[in-house]
Amino acid sequence: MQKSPTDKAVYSRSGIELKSFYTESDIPQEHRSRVTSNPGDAPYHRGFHPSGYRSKPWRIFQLSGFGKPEDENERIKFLLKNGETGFIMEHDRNTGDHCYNVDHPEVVARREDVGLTGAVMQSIRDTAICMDGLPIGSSFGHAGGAVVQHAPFALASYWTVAKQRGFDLEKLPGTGQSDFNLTYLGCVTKEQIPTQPGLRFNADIIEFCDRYLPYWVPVSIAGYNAADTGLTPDQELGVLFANAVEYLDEIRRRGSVDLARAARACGGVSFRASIEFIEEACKMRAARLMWADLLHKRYGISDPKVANLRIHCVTAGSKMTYQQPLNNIVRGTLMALGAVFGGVQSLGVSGYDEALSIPSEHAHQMSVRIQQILQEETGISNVTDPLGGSYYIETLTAQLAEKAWIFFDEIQKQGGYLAALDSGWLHACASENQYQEFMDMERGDQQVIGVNCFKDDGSPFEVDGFMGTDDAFDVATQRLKEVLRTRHEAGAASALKQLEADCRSDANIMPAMMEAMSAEVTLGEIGDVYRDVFGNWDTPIQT
Amino acid sequence: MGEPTTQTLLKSAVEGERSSLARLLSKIERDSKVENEIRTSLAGGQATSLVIGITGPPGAGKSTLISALLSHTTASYEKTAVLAVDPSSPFSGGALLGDRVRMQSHGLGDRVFIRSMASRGESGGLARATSTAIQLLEACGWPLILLETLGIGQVELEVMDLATVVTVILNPGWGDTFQANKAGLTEAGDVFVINKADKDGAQQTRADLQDSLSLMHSPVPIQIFDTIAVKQDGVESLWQGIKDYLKDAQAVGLIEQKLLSRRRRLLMRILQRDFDDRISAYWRSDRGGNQVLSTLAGDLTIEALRNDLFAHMTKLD
Amino acid sequence: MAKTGLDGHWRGPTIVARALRDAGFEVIMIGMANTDDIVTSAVDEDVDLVGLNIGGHIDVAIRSIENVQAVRPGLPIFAGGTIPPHAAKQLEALGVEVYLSAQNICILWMPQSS
Repeated sequence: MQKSPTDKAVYSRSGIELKSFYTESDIPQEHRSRVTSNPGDAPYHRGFHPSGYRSKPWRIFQLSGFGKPEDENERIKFLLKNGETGFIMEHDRNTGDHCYNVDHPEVVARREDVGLTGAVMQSIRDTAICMDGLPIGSSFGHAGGAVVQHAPFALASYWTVAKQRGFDLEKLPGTGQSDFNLTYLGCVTKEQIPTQPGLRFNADIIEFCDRYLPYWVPVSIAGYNAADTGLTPDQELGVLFANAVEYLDEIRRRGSVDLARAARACGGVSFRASIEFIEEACKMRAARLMWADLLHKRYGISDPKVANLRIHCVTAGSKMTYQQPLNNIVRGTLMALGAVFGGVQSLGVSGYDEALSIPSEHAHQMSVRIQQILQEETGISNVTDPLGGSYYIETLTAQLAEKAWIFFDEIQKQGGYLAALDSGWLHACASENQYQEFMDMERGDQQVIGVNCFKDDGSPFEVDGFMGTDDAFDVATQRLKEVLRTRHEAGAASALKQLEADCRSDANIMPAMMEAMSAEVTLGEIGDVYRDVFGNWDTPIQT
Repeated sequence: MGEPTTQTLLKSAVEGERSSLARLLSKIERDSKVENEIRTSLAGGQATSLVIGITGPPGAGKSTLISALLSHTTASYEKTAVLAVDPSSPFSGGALLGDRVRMQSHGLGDRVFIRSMASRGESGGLARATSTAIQLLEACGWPLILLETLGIGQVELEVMDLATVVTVILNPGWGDTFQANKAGLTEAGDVFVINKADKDGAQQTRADLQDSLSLMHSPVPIQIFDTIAVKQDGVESLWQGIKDYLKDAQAVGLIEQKLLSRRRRLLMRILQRDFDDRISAYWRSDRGGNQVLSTLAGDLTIEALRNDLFAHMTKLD
Repeated sequence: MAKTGLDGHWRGPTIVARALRDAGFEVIMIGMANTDDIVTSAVDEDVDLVGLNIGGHIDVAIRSIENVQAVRPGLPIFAGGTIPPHAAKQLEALGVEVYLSAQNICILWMPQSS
């Protein structure tokens, strides 16, 4: 929220003008009837279930990963021991996001960076090390594969290891994200498949999970990645649903999966919880409202099991400051509070050292502790939708939904979500906002404690960053050689050939990907097939 | 140790020193005196390099196509230089130049030289210094120069003055969105490309384009190529098509005609620039300033002002 | 402006490039670039300033800085990103000046002469 003199208009982050207080008459007419609905009832803005967190606490779900697969495995076990209730297996960005093996020249040129933001997993042997002893049957696992081109590999390798260990895929819980906002908007890689084959990959994953992994969330649209790239809360909502209809329209076109089941599969999403936590709580409420509305109007779906959006939330990494990093513990707590007020099902809190590095063990532990204190000490779980009925909350919820639909429509005018990515239109929106935010801070219009006001004179280095391990590249190089030397070469070659053939045809690529995993085909070999078959996305650089 | 003189840099650049070439390009962009000096120094040289203009609307994939062409062009010509022009901000004069992002992973090392240029307020699709930059690249032994225009959508005919062959890049659906520019673009092109040919509407675009081209009277057959530059699809055929065009154009004397017109145009530009500079100098001088004020006050006719300008501009330098 | 790493967080360089453009700079974006790309671009474009977005391990950044310095001695280099304090200190020891900007630190390489 902007700091302004009393006579000046005040706006929320979404650009909604705020009154100094609200009364019943401010609640938009069409929203009034909804205010009296109960949590668990359509249109669900009041929450997923009437008993809320009493019957099901939110999942404590922290992003984690670095170094060698065994380093990552150790950290995940540490988090689980400390009370995390799901786990996330991050893959190294250099190799994973790009589908490169460690011997790729672009990776070798940056060998020291390897393993910095996730473990290097180039074949199922690596994945198996990372998964060693993890409670994959009972705990919700994130297999990695946040970037679209990486997802089929990350998922298939996780599933293959699970199968080899005797787990029944029919019962396996988890997700892999495969998010377009990350891939094509927030974290654009050096080279990657274009959006059209990306859409195909995600539809393939949805189909495959529908058939073989009913408890798996096949794709998870992340508003977070759009928001932390600069989109405002209303735009984050609009873009998320514009993305969702792209998936569902494709599934409808294919006609291979029951549309309601596909909608259920796409209804596990994530949002960013930023520091303006009241607006953020309203955003989660508006999201549920919008999803129910969208499914009903566009697809004729109103089954509560489908129309009830499940939300994972991550606190805003970009709001964590470099200066006075311990302040970030407070920021993380407030952002988490907003998410919980919004009734999310799952939550990750950024480490207080987020602006410095990937989380240290201590920062990670604090992120878990913040959530545990909220769950166990504050009593916040006792009552569902504690803010429901507030004039302000209900008004802002309705206004956010309305503004988000406008942005949704604008995206449709651009030719739809994929077209708005391909043309760079969304990047321009995000870039404009982030620049304005930056300038607001530079000018001091937006005060950030410890950054542009209440600064310390002393050294900012009261907390040191965490640098992981330094042998990830060497070990990965050894392991790559080892797998290439000892695998059954003819089997690997034929599996890779089948995968390529399927990529070139209209077939679902996942069965061939599963075969390729069993045959120990490596990540970089798969990436080479993609690059050959699909080419590179033409990144829309704004000039 | 001071900054080396223009002539020292020129000598070293012509001997193949890249950093001297790069420094000279900056100098001609910044200083029209240096630009004139270079032009004059190189004036006697023959226009021997092949200049391929790449033009088309924004987002058509010009940079990507150039990137895809590099492996073919260097196979035929050993070395390739790229000049990529991007728009300057009319407010700050600054610019964001993004072409290298798409172009630099060519893996061809020293055989490729890429230079970004901001338009610095020039209309017409190129920068003021582009023609001199081409002269300089020629003198420094770059046998092939790919010239990418702004692509801000307007008709960019200036590229016709500089390029031996102009390649126009379009996308499916072009006919609907660029109605007004159709004539201009079709007039400018010698070779046409429908890039992103896997998108809907490629057939229609081809038909539209053929329609427009049928009105042209080119002595050489004009071809249309389909490419998907991000996948390298169709790029080899396009390169062959450009070479075929050159051969055909050579056979009917069109190349010679174009080279002559390019040199005439260059000469014309030198004079024009010189003239512009002199007008500016007159305008800023005490005499010119006073004459202008008198004209504005109605004490002097425009005709008299013009005569005074012609009489005094040559004395200023 | 280059990103030395293969991590696709673009927010930092995008903001800085925009701010520089609005201050009248011509900013040549070269994307995720390895050391050779950075050196080639610095030479061929005859730049006045190199901007690096450097995340995490700074070995790659240091290599880029040293290689640019080798071909363009005295060329100023600035950088920013998620730079852990101990790495910032390491850069300080090499003669880099550390400034605190909006959220992340911004460092400026100050070569001996300039």
